[in-house]
Amino acid sequence: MSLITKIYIAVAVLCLGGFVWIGFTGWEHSSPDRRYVPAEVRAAPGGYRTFHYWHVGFSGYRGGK
Amino acid sequence: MGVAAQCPVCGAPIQFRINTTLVAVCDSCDSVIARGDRTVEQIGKVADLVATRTPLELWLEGRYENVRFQVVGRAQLRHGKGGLWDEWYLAFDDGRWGWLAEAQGTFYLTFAVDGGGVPDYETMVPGCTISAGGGSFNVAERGEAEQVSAAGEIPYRLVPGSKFRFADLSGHDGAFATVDYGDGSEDPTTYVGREVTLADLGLHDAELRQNALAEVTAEAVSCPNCGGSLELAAPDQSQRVICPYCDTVLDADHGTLKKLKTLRRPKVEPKLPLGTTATFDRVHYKVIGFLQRSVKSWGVTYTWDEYLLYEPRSGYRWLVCNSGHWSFVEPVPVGEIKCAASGYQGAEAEDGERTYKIFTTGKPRIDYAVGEFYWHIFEGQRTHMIDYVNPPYMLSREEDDGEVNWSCGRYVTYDEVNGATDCPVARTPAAGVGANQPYPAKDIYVFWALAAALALLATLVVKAHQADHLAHDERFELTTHFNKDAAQVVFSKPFELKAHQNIIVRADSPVDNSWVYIEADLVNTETGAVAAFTLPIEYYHGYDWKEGARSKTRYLSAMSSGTYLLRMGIWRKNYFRKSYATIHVSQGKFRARYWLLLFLGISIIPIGVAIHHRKFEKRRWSESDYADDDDE
Repeated sequence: MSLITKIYIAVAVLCLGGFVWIGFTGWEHSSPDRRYVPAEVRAAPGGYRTFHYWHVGFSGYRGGK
Repeated sequence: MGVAAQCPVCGAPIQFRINTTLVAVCDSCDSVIARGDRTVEQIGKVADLVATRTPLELWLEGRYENVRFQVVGRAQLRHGKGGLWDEWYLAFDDGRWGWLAEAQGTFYLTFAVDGGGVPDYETMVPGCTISAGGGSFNVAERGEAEQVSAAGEIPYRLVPGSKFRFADLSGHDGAFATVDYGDGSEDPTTYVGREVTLADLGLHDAELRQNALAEVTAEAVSCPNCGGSLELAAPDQSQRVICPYCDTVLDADHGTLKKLKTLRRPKVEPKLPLGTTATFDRVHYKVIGFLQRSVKSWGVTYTWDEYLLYEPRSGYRWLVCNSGHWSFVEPVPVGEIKCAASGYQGAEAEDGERTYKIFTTGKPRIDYAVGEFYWHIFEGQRTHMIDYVNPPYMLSREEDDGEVNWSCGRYVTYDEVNGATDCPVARTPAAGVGANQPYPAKDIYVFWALAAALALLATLVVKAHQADHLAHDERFELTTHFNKDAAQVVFSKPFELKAHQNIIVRADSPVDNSWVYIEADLVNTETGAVAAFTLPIEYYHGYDWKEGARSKTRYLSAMSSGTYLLRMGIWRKNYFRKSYATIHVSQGKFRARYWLLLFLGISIIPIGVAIHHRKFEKRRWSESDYADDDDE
């Protein structure tokens, strides 16, 4: 078996393995990072519903012409 | 049983054991005695039998296709081009006679059939196809032979010294036939049969003797010119020996050497010295001869080396080195080849296993020879040669006066040759692409096909796992307000998400030359896990243009299973008007982009290899006389 064929087999195994892994884990490459609502936020009035204001606040206008 | 008589020459008793025997050879005086109705007559006298390494002898008994036979006669015949062969006559219990020809350790058993319908000797052109005895055969050789010696009982009127013409025919799957034209005064006789082994004939003692003979070491002789010590590996088959010490051409007559002439030429050192052992397919061959041949094409002279290999049980093979490209070559019976015509563009030949494409034709000449050869070799000797290729194999047809031979060469690497021999072989860098050199990465296509099949299977499995489904669908009314920087914050109703499945969030809003901007948090109400993302929707258009869309989709990696809600902050251009937005959350969507990436990943290397392979084939066929337009 030629060297290029051996390399190809390794690449093909990686590609197939990667495809199956993505399919079975539901991974998306552009997905945002996970964060967690801190316990104190969850315990605060409004709970997780107020989390956005804790970590971002009002973002304001971001698009359009 | 049989008839007893007295030799009319010496008076010794003669026994005609078989009723249909026509002549018997007197053991005492070698006279050939013909049996008449009432008396016997002498036809002539044969020479003493030449001692050969035959495992057969008279009066052996065997069985072929369940019919018992006895070996009752033997004749030695001299080929018109030199060399002897033995013919044995088998008397079968059912009254038939079998002709058992022995040549270079191979046996052919034939029986006489109705000879009507075979072509004339002159039209028996080597290579042409004819019908004989109900079968189809290719003419392998036509020539002349002479009755030299005999012993025992003979089923035909053997006249010592008489000459006859013959044509040997080769058929498919070991079939063999020969047509005896005699001296031309009578109708030809056709004999049809096949190649057999001693085991096929039930001659087990002879088989043992054959094995024992194969173990016999080479015969040591001296060069009659220089006295140099020579070892003949096949003394009973070699016809010419060229002394490696003094370059004298010697006629070899069963081990007896006779000087013909001394060559004056520059020495060529073979890469494999004579006497080297080379092992191929577990057979230990000995290098007994070396040839350097050349052919001129379009003003360019191409030279290559050929090594003659010999092993008593397997016979002769060749090892060929052409510009650093090696091939191990084996003979192929003429009858195994299908080749309607040759020497034209696109011509093909088949050997039952493969189809070969014509590559080159030429009339190579022997420039240099040394060692031991089974034919009357001479420097300057030419044959007409056609090569067909199907890498790593090459089928070669060689034709000279009255004879056609086919051989099949298999490409072997230098490392294989070096590993097969018992002495190191000088390496010659391989130049260009060999005619039958296999493309080294051709096996990648098999793995490519396998990877594609596995990719399709993986696609089906992944699609079955993902099971695309809608998790949540909700409409949000967007109210009027008067602060363009203020967002309207809405929360979706809780909904369930499954683990291990990607999440697709799509927002739609009827924007028109306007925009809606959504900042969203997908929150797990049980664990507090959050995925924050944005969904900008904008759609603009004019008389003949448009851009953007009234919906936006985001793909999120799977989250743990549980109850989720969406918190959304919504900004709008037209914040002072009422509007709405809908949110669709689904899961398990098959992603075509990953599928395309997979196929790109498994195909990019094979595509690169295929491009290189095509260039490789172009280089191969640039050396051919018959390159297709596609190949050049």
